Amino acid sequence: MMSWVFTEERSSTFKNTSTGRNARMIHSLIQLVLRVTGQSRPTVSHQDRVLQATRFFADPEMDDELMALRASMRGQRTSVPAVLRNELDRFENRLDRDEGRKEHLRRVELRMLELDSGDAAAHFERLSGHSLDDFPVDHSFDSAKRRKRTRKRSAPLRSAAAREHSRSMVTALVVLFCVLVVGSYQSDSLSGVAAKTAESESILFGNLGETSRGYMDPEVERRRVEIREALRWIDASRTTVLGFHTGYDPTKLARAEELIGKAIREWTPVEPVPPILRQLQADIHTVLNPRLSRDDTRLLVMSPAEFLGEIDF
Amino acid sequence: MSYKIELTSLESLAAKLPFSMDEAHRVNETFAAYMLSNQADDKRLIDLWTYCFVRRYFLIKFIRDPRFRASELDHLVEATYRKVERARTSITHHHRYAQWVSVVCRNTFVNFIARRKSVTGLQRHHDVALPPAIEDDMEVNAAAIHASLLHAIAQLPPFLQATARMRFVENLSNEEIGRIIGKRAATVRAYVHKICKRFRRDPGLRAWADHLLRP
Repeated sequence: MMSWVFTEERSSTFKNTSTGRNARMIHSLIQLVLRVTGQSRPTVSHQDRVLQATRFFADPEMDDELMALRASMRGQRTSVPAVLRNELDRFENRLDRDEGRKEHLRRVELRMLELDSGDAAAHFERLSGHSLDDFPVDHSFDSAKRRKRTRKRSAPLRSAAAREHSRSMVTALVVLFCVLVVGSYQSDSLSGVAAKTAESESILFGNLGETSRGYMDPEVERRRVEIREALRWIDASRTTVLGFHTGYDPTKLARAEELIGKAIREWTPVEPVPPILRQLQADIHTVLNPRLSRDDTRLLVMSPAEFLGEIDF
Repeated sequence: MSYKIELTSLESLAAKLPFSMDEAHRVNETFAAYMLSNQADDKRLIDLWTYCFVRRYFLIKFIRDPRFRASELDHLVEATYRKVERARTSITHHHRYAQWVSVVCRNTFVNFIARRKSVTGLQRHHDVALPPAIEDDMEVNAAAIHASLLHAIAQLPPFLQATARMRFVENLSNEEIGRIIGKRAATVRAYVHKICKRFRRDPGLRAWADHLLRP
């Protein structure tokens, strides 16, 4: 009942009832108590006023009132906080479409130049006793650093030797990280072999199917064994440094190449060699012969029919 | 095509600050840190910000009236800067330093106008209009107050931020917001209610609220 006593919209019927009269009386009593006790509670209207004020800068109808403020901010655009640049851009767009407002801005800026013709820097230095040379060029000073400094202001300073040692360690770690990352990037060309291993196994053995009667041809089975062994040699040849720099042991990789080459040579002429096997062979050959381009390798491992374009490789 | 005149004096000075003159929360943080630890670089920044803010305050006020002179500006800036420097160590709300400086500027300007009227007898000249004091110094503080709103919005949970921007920056109605975000108007009203509750606790907005609602 009390909550809607304070609403603005009340029907005339309610006003004239005994309930309405009682509500008005209670409302008056409450206001009296608040005045007597000096209490005030933040009301919705207070917050509305504040929130209304927050919108002024974004309100196009306030452009004329805020012209001087905007003029000063245009002159310091690089230091305007990012959150306000959007509104400044909108203001510029409105300005471009309004010659009258542009002229107003021009008058404001000329007046500002006339008033600000003195040497503010010298004035500041004289008033404050500071030298502008004492202000750092690097504006990395931020609130996080300030809070950290005030928390640790009682901590003893480290010795110069300790600081130098820390710097050396940091430098060494940075160099190591760069070597690993760069090395990792440079070995990206090997990742094709790694990526194809798991794929090869599923596709190859899917291609090497059983006969319609469920009988596994021994020849096919032997090919499976060879290819599976080749894939195991590829896995065994893989080396890494902290998981970054992936390399391959050439001896083990060469063994894998030999087994895959044997499997391909012994493929029956009536069955096309699965393209994935050819690609695997080409990739291994590229890793073992880095001076060859990928295209050269493909040509070397192609069969005559593939070379002639009779079969897609 | 927009054009712009470079303001070299105040602009080059303000460029030395690591934050904008309108980032009240950063100014207040710096002042609070200075009062706590008395570090020289904090004092330097506070002094520079104070000077730049005071100078800009009176520049903006003077622009409206062509009879105010540059020499009067320097005197006012100096008097206000000294007043702030003397009194700031006794203020209790360190996190409202920026708003306090604005109040000092306003009081100084009001006294200046009153003194000028009595000296020049302008009151007798009815055709002369003294610059109207815009309520709450909006023409000086609008950007800082708006920045505080945007900062408060950034602190909201992500699901409330879009509604807050549309409602309090773009001034869209609950129905329009509901259509954009695909919610019913009642849901948007609930969101706005949550947002207002959080805004009431936001220190930046509260600092401006106290500034705007002072007797």
